[in-house]
Parts: sequence; C-alpha cells; structure tokens
Amino acid sequence: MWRFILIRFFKAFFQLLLTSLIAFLIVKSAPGDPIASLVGGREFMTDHDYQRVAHNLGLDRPIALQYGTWLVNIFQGDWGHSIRDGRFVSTTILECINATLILIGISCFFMIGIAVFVGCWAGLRARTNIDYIISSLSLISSATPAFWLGLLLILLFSVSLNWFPSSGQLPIGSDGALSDYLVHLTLPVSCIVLTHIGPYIRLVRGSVQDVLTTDYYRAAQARGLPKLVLIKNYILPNALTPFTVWIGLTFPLLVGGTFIVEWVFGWPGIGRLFLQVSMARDYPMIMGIVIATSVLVIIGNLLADFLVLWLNPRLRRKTSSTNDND
Amino acid sequence: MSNSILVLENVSKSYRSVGNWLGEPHYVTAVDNISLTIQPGQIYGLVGESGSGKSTLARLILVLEKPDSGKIIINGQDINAISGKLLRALRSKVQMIFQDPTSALDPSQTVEKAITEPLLNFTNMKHSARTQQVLELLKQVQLPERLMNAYPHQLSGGEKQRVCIARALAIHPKLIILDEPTSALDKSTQINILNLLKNLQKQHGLTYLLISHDLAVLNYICTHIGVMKHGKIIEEGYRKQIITSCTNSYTNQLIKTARLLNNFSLNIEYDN
Amino acid sequence: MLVPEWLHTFGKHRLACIGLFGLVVISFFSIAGPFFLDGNTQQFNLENMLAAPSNEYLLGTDRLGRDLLWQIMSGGRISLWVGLIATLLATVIGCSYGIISALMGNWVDRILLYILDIILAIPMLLIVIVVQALGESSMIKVILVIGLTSWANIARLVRTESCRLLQTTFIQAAITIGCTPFQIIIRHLLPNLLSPLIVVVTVGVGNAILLETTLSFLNLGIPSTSYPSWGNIMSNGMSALLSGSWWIVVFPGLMIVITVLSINLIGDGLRDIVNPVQRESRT
Repeated sequence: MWRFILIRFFKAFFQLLLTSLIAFLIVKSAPGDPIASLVGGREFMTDHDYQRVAHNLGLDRPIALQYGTWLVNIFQGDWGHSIRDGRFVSTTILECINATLILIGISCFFMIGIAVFVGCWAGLRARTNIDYIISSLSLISSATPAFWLGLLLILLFSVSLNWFPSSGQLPIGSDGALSDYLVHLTLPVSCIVLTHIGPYIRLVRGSVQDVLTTDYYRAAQARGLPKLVLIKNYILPNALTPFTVWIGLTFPLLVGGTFIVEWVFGWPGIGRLFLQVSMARDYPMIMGIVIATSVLVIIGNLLADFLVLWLNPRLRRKTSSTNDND
Repeated sequence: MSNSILVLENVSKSYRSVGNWLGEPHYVTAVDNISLTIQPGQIYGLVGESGSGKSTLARLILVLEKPDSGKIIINGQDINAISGKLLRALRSKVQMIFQDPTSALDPSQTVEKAITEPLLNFTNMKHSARTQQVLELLKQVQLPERLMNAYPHQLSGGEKQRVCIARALAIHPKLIILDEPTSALDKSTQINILNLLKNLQKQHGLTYLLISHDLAVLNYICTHIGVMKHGKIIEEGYRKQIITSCTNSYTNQLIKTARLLNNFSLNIEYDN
Repeated sequence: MLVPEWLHTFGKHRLACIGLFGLVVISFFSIAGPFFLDGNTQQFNLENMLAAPSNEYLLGTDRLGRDLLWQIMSGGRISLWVGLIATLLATVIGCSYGIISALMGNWVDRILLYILDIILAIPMLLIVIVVQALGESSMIKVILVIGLTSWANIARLVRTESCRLLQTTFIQAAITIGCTPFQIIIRHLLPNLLSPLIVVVTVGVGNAILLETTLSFLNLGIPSTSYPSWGNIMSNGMSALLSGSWWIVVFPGLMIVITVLSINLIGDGLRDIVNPVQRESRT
C-alpha cells in the first residue's frame, strides 16, 4: 500500500512536469515576437537594444535551459509579472483561486449528493416511469453545453424573472456579503451541476442495478433484511467505488466546465481570469494559471485515488501485488 | 531416432511469480527437465493434475513460448534455432486443438473464413479451390455445409470443436497437439469428438500428443501414456502397460480415481 | 463482420432508432436545408435587424438582419463536419497508440500507459483554449486541435481491449496457423476492436461538437467571418441577449442539444447491442 501511495505521488509529480512542459512549448511556439511586443514593435528598437533585451530576459539561451530556469523560478514561488498590467502572477492567481475553489467545491458537493440519491432511486426503480424520466434527463444533461444553459438561466432568472443576479457580487468579508454571495452562487452552481451530473447519475444507476443481480444481494434479501439496511450495507458501498474512480477521471472535465461557467456568469475566479488573459495573450499569466489548474486537478485526482483505496479494502491489500504483476 | 516426429531434450521452463512488496520475484517451475520422444503414428497421452505443466509443454512445442533450457526438435529441426519464414513453414507441420473451442475461434469470423485462413497462409489455392477444400473438410469432421456462413456464437460446443479440428487439418499437419480437447464439452459430445479424432488419425496417418487430466479419455484413444507431476514425467510407456501394471504410486492413485469416478473399470481391451 | 446482425438488433432498440432518426433529420436539415430557402434571406438586411420569429423569418433575424434559420442550417453543416473529422483524426491516433502499446508489451507498454495516464489528467480545455487564443484561428486549426487533444480516451480503450484480445486463445490459434503479426492485426485484432470502438467514437463525435461550439462561442473557434457555426452564432447573439433577443441564443443551442442527444442515444444503443454479442460469444 505504501508502495502504491509512493508511486502515485511520483505520477502526480510527472503529470505536473508534463503539463508545464506542454504549456511552455505552446507559449514558446506562439507566433509573434515577445521582445518586440514589449515596446510595441521591432521598428522601435536598434539591433543592439534588441540583443541586450533578449539577453536580459534570457531569451537568447537554448530552449531547454529557458524551461529549466522557468521551472526553478516556479518552484521558488517567482511566477513572474503579467505583461499586461504588471501585477504579480502568483498573487493574482491566489486572489482568484478562492472563488473558483468555492464554486467547484459547492458544485461537487451538490453533484455527488444528488447523483448518489437520484441514481440509487432510479436504479432501485428500474424500468418504471420515474426511472425513464431520470434517465432521459441525465441524457439531456450530458448533451447540453454549459455556456448555453448558463445563458438560458440568465435569460430566465435574471432578465425575465429578476430572481437572481447574473453577475457582480460583493467580495466575501464585506458587510452582509454572505447572503449576497449565496444568491450569486445559485445560478453558476445550478449550471455546473445540471450540465455535468448526467454521466454520474447513469453510473450510480448502473452500479446499483449490477448489485441487484448479484447472488449475495439476493441472499441478503432472502434473509429478510430491511430495505434501508440493504441499501446502506449492500448497495451503496458497491456503487461508491466506481463512482469515486469516475469522479477522479472526469475531474479535469469538471474544472474545464467550471471555467466556462465562470466566464458566462462573470464569476471572479481563475477561469474567467484565464479566458481574459488568453485572449490578451498575457503569457506569464497563462502559464501561471495552467500550472495552478494542473495542481488543482492533480490534487483532485490524488484525493479520488486515495478515497478509492480507503473505500475498497480489497484494493488496499491487492495494490502491492498488482503493481508487481503488470 | 532420426524419424521421430517430436523430440524433447531436457526442456525446462519456469515463470516469474508474484513477489513480495519489495518486488523480489520468486520462480515457479512449470516444466522441469523433460525429455520425450514421439514416433509417427503414435497417440501419446500426457496425464497429470492441473498445474503439472502439461499446457506449458504444449505452448513450448508450438513456439508460443521459449524454453529456459533444452531442445525441442520437430521433424529433425530444432524449433528454437529457426525464426521468420522457416518457423512459419514449420508451423504447418504442427497444429493445435485448444481446450475451449469458444475462445479458440475468432468471434468475428465465419466458419468458412476460419477454415480458409490456414489455407491462405500456407497455400496459393484459387478462391474456388479453397471453397471446395473447406467443403471437403467440413464433410470430414461431419459438419453440414449450411454452417459455412455461421458465426461461432451460433454453434454448439461440439460443432465449434469440429470447426477447430477442420481448421487444424486444412494444412495437412504431421503432429496435432490436443490440449484437453473434450473437457469443455458434455459427455455425449466427448465420445463423438474422440471417435472422430480416432478415425481422422487412421485416415490421415496423423500423430497426436493428447493432453488431459482425464485418464479415461487417454485410455480410450492413446497408444502411449506419460504421467506428469510437478513439471516432470514420472512414468511413461504403452497404454496397456501403464493401466495394468504401473509401478509409480501416483499413477496408481490416478487410475484408482478414474475407476471410481467413471464407475466402471478402465477397459484395457480398446482396440487401437 | 457482424453488421447485418447489428442492423437487425438496432431496429429493435427504440431509443437508438429515435437517435438515428434525429441525426438523419438534423443532417438533412443542415445539408439540404439551405437549398429550400429563398436566397435573399442570407443577405444583410438592416431594415430587419433583430426581428423576432415571425411568418417571414421563422426563427427571427440576427444583428445584421440575416435569417437565423438559414444561419442555423449552414452552421449545422460546419459543426457536424468539424465534429466528425476531428473525431476521425482522434480515432486514428488513438487506435495506433493503443495497438502499438498493446503489441509492444513490456516496458514500452508501461511507459506508453504511464504517458497516457498523465495525458488523461491534463485539463485539455485549457490547452485547447491557449492554443486557440495564440495565433489566428481557422476551421482546419479547430479540427486539428480538437482531434489532437481528444484521442487519449480512445487510446486507453483500444489498449485495454487489444491487451485482452492478445491474451485470447484465438490470437494464439492464429499464430499456430501461421499468421504474421500484420495479418493478426488486420484479420483478428481490428474486426474485434470494431464493436467497442464504435461506441466511444460515437460519443466522441458528440463531445467534439460540444467542444467546437464552446470554442466558437468564446470566439476562439471557427471565426464568424469565415463560416457560421452554432457556437459563433450564439457568440454574436450575446450582445443582443440582454435587450431581449432571446432567439439568437436559444435556437442554435437547442440544435446542439438535439444533435448531441441523438448521437449519444445512438452510442447508447450501440453499447447495448454490441455488449450482448460479445458476452454471448465469450462465455
């Protein structure tokens, strides 16, 4: 088991390294001259100035070395400045990441709760009208683009009914901000949950149905155990492992979806920031956010993996041997 | 010795097994220093409990795996010394019938395609000639022509095994290795398949290496029997000799169990 | 191959039939639709800016007075094509990667699998957005970027299935009857990969369409100056949304939902159809 955890941490580290390399290469291969863009065009610099600036910025060194220096700086906490407004990349990201974490956290909480409850419900009542309705809704959910549903929600609840604001909340901590914050959270969270929950409901429903056909469940049923005990001790534990694995696997998708939703609702998280700086081609900021998001996703993945290990005692014992075997 | 069809000389093979948490492997010996000779026309039966290394031996002879040490000589050729085209040519001499006919047939191939495949690989027959050959083979294994275009999952276990036999016969092999050819089938089908195998052997002058854990099956069809235990051959000889007057206690026990299970005495009067 | 049998079972699968029907209708609507419309409706018409749905303009008009119905029809063509071609690209890459990984085995397989695991954990949307934000966008670029970032799922499936298939007796039987590795791939591996593959590919087309429309909506996809796509129609309609012109955003989105839903229903149906055949023939 310790071997597994160690290997898992190694993997997380490599994931981070590879993502940073990809981001670095993409930004490096982007068209346009970063030095010329500093002063507004190549024609405003002499050749001598140009080389001096290139040398000072380290841009005349081989690309592997540039990547190495950049990586070392990242590890030392020096994430550079925005080339647009000169803000520190690290502090800007830290300011924004809270809002994103709150959005993702609350959405995840609701999504898991609703998916487990509704999925079980549909699974236990397979082939009834309720099941058909839930299954169709979850199919529609996974076919709906998040940004479109966001626009619809704004159109319906902000423009027509004026129940919820579409954007522009007060920062957390100011007077009466909590209720304001919650009101502002309603639409984005609903949007994320509604557009991502489909596959999870289907997964829970499927695993519940799988358990229902096993012999040990039938034996437990024949022993006359009450329904709630059956659900708690037999159905849920078996449905939860694949569910957690799936959450870990699809976590990158969820983060991506959140970014779009932030953009639509003007939520001041790193998603909106990311889209803003991407469109402005603010390279240090782009790289910083890619790294920060990767850390977020990798931590999410790690948590999911360890949760699976903890949920599933069979795996806990088996992991060391399977790792040798494959 | 020179006209022996199969000679094994001190063949050994071991597998790396699951190690401890540090990843130190330990080894399990599946085939331990086995020497064996099979002459043309023999039906050599290899009996032993599961895990005694019978199937590994079959895989080694088919060059699906390489032995750790020792020589395997088929038709006078050391099979581990050749590769590429020569090895492929040699493959036509040795064919195999697998234990489970369901997994031995590609689920996406029709019966016709399955039987045609070895013909495509080893002969350059024309399309019509191949179809003719497939029909002939189907007749030999007593399958109706209408099954030509059936898929494996539409066939019964016995029918699938017959397709496998037809497929093996297609390229006129000298030696056929039968790895528990009847153990996945029910009793009545077993007898039919064994009779078919017996007839084919006589018709085509084939040599069989029959692997089984069921002594009754071996007794029904074999000329020679070898007994395997823990990767070694502990006794071998003519069928009658083994059944009536074996010397080894393990063999004796196998025969007793077989008598008990089959609820009749092993008949030594089968005519080979 | 199992195609005729499939068709028969497919016909019995009600949801899959609905999906297929939906997709056929949408494809027809997108490809043949524009020919049935009056040619003038695609012109700028500043007298009819942001007209609400009416008898003249069934779905209303956009900011520049163009008929929304015509735009949605031509947009559908682009979105469907982009989804299809990008997924084909991803399938080719994914299949090659998966088969190579499974065939090489040993340490090559381990390394490739490790890389695959890492790639699957990267939030691809970010990478796609970065790539699209840097430099000019075009339809080809969108197709390439979507294709190059969505093959990992397919590769993982193909690798798992190929590994399972390579262990099966019928592949070993194929070796004993003298097939070369190439013949094994062509005759045995690919036909048996087809059924699980077709399911992921179908769902992949749906996802590619969603990704394309999202990108185009963010103005990072297909430029609205080149072709209309469902995404960039909505993007153009954003500014008119708050003034109450809901139709420009609602109708293209509905088309996306119906299209992706149809594709997913077909994928679902195929999954149900493909699996029993496999299970039946495996046991």
